[in-house]
Formats: sequence, C-alpha cells, structure tokens
Amino acid sequence: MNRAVLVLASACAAAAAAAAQNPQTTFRTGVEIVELDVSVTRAGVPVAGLTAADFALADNGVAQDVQSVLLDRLPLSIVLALDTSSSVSGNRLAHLVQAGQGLVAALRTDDRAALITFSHAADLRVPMTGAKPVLAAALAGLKGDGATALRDAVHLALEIRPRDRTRPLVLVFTDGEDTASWLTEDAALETARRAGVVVHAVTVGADAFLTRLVDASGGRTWSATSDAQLRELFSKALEEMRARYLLSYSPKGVKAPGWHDLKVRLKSGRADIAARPGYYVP
Amino acid sequence: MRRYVARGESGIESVAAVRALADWPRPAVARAAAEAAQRLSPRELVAAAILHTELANAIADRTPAAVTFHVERARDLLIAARRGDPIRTDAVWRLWYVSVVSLYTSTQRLQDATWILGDGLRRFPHEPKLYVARGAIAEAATRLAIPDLRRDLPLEPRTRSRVEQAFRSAVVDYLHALEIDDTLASAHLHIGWTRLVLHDGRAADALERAVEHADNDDQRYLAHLFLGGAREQAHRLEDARREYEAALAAGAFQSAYVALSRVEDALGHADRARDLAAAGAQLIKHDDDPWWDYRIGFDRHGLLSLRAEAQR
Repeated sequence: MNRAVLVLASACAAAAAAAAQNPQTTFRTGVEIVELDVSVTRAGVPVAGLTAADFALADNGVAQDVQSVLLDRLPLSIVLALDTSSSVSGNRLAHLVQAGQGLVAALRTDDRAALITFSHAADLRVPMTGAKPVLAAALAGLKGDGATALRDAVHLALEIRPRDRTRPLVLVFTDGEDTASWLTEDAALETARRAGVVVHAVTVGADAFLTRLVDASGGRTWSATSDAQLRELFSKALEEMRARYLLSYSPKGVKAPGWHDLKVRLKSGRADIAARPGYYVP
Repeated sequence: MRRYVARGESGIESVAAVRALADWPRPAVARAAAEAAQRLSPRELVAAAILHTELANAIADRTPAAVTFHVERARDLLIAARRGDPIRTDAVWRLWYVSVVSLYTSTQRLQDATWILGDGLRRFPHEPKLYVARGAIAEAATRLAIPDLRRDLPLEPRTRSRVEQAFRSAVVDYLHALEIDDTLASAHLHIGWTRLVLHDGRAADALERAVEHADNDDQRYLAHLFLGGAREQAHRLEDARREYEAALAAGAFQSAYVALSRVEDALGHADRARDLAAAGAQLIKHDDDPWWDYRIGFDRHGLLSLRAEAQR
C-alpha cells in the first residue's frame, strides 16, 4: 500500500470512528440536526428510490428542508424484548425461539442485537453484541414463567439502546396484558417519545398499550394469527427496518425547548407513512 | 400416620417436607391429619398446620382444589391445637388467617378469601391485620372489575367515581385497623396506595406515616416507592428521585430501578437513566420485588410473620 492510499484509509477510518460516537439526534446551540426514521409503503410494500426532494416535512407546523435521505446505509442495533411469561410455553415458546434465531441469523456483519426477556421481571440476557452464536444460544435457553411486566421492560429496552451512529430499533414480542409493571402506560410512552427510537411489535392478540407505543415511536405492529407465523413476522419487521428512510434536517423557524410535532408526507403520490410523531428538546 | 408426624416435625419451611407432603395421596393425608388431630401435641399440630399452609402457597397458582384441601387441613389442625394450648395457638392462628386470605386474594379467589376472612374475624374481631386483609380484597376486586385501573390509565370521571366508591369500603377497613393500632404501617400503606391511584393529594400524608411506622424493609421499600409516585404526580421530580433512592436503599429491586431510571430520564439525566436501567435489568436476585406481591394482593410479610410465630 503506498503512502497516499494509507493516509486516505486512515482518514476514512477516523471519520467512521468519529461518526460512530455521534448521537443520532443532536441538539446543541447552533448545530441542531434532527434525524427521523420513516417507513414508506404502498399496499404493505416498501416504496424504493425516494430522495430528499420527495419528502415534505413540517416541524411544529413549519416546513423544513430535508437535507439528506439515507436508505439501508447504517448498521442496525436491535433490542429484542421478548415476553417469557407463563403463557409463553410449549409450541409458542418453540416458535418464538425459532423466530428470534431466524432474525439473528439474518443480521449483517455490522448489525448488532441485545436480548431482554420479561415476565414479572425483565432480564438483560445478552447486552448489545454482534456475536450471533451468543444470541442464538441465549434464545435457545428461554423458558416461560411468571407474570407480565411489559411496560417496565419497554422502558429498560429503550434505555439500554446504544447512543452511537447506528439505527436503534426495539422489537417487542408479547402475548398478554401487563400484570406486573410499576410504570403506567403514559410513563412508558413518555420514555418512548424521549428516546426517539422506532419500536416494532409482534403480538399474539391485540394489546392496546402496544398500539399506542408503536404509534408514538413510528413503528409498526404485526399480529400473529398462529404461533407458526412468528418467524415470518420477525423477518418482516427486520425487512421493514432495512427499507426505512433516514431523513435529516436542521430545524428552522421553531423554538427549541419542549415537544416538537412532526408531520411527514410525500410531495406527490399517496403512501402509508410511519414515523415518530415528534421529539423532545430538553 | 408415623410418616405424617415425621413430616410435621421435620420443620417449618422445610422444602423437602413440603415436597413429600405434595407427593402423598390426598385421602391418605386426610386420614393422617384426622388421626393426628387426636394424638399430636399442640406444638406438633401447629407445625403440621404450617406445613399444609406452606404447601398451599407453593401450589397456589397451579392446583386450586389442592390448595383448598391443604388450607382446610391446616385449619382443622389449628382447631385441634387450640384445644390443648389456646394462647400459643391463637398467636399463630391470627397470622394464619392473614396469610391465607392474602394467598386467596393473590390468586384471584376472592370468594374463598372472603369466606376465610369472615371465619377469622369471627374468632379474632379485634385483629387489625384482618381488616387490612379485607380492604385488600376490595382493592383486588376493584382492579379486576375495572380494566383501566389494571392498565394504570388516567381514569375518566365515571370510572374514577366507580373506583372511588369501591375503594371507600377498603379505606373504611384500613381506618378501622388504625383505630385498633394506629402504628400499623400496612394500613397506612394501603390508604396511601388507594389515594395514589386516584391522584388524591392526600396520598403523601398516608405514605409518610407508612414510612414512619414501617417495621420491615418490604414495607419501607413500598412506602418510599409509592411516595415517589405521589411526588411525581405533584410534579416534584427531585423529591420523587429522593424517594426512589430511599426505596433502593431499603431493597435493590427492579421496580425501584425502573422508577428511578424514568425520573432521571425526565430530569434530563440520560446517562444516569441508562446506567440505572442497565443495573435494574441485570439484577441477579430479582424474584423478590415487594411491588409484584403488593400488586396481586399477596402479603409476603404475613407469611414470614406466620413462620416466625410458629417457630417461637
């Protein structure tokens, strides 16, 4: 390798390392960048090929210029938050393990995942890692027992997300009503709004809290009609995440502190758009 | 019969003895218990009654009919023990009622809880803990009947009015318990909780009294945890943080980690919130959070007190 190439490679590595330390959303005086994960689908199929010029975005009602749009460039950091209460046993547990292992197998080299299970207690089984065998082994050892502390587990899953230059995603699986959390629904939703992380949910049966959570975070819900569907739905959740656009803009004409309402649409054409409805500035 | 006596004498809290009793066919246990009631000493009968009660607790979530069977055997044995030693048996028996009522309440067998409570109040009409247990049944019934309460959602006016009405009878019981013993922390705790749920500003007063009179770490933990909730409702986040920290000092359980992490997040201390969340999600011993027992109406300390009294 000649010196010029060596210097260039080092500079790229340094830039990548610096980027990896930056938070996804930055709010500093004079330098404010908001990034927004957006899913665009038509009839359930992701819409490809969009550019910044295709999006109209309003921050607290003020139109903003979308400066860049990334698709599938950044690695994923997925927190799997899986219900392992007593109702998740037998076939359901077996299918859940397969679904989780399928998702782990589909991760790319630079993707990472963490595993939290929850019954009445939430348990961080595997911290964020790219080691697929570790995740697969932890999944294989799951057992169902106890009550369900979904809201507390969601809070913990959101809090342990990495604050680096990856795309964080929480994928929640549950099959039952919360029976053990300390946090109220509103408290858990507030955590989700502050975190600004996309939460996807795979459920067996409807759960009103998860619907609110997913709406508040700009994620999507998939309801399984049978346990055997879990693997397919976990894969869909991963595919959906990869097909999302990451929009960036510098807010202009809006007061900084407090809650900011966000509205995103396509300038032309209809589509189903999922994005978090706003963000907090401390 | 000999095996049964051996089981009874093998010690309260003996896991092996409870397991052995669980494996024994019910007709044989019934025969042995009936025979034991005629032959054993009061102390042995109390020990056997506790063994049945421990087993009932161990299988509470799985086999309702067997729970009833063992509770009935325990009660029969206590009746027999009282004939020989009423003073000592009554000291155990009061706590036995409190413990069994909470067992039934926590498994949503509220009719059984009400029946056994009525039986207890007939024998011990001045036992304040039984009034707290009756209030806890009313609390559990309200929670079961009102989905928004189970989901901890803000209550609409009509629902709130239903909850207030339902909690009123519970609070009457808690206040009655305090008339008998105004230092009973569990009564203050329950009053505080029912007010907290209703976003009643008086919750904090009751919870401060619960902190003051708490005589074990579980009560202290819950009182501080609930008081933190009351401070949050009053938008006093710094005070809430102090209460959650006090709860953690009383017991390093997950619900306090979650509560404290969320408040730190709301205060803008993101790093601290993350560290607390990580610590809370990696607790090695996490099955004993008093909040989980309180939420389902189980009085763990009641069972511990019963064991301690029976062993004296």
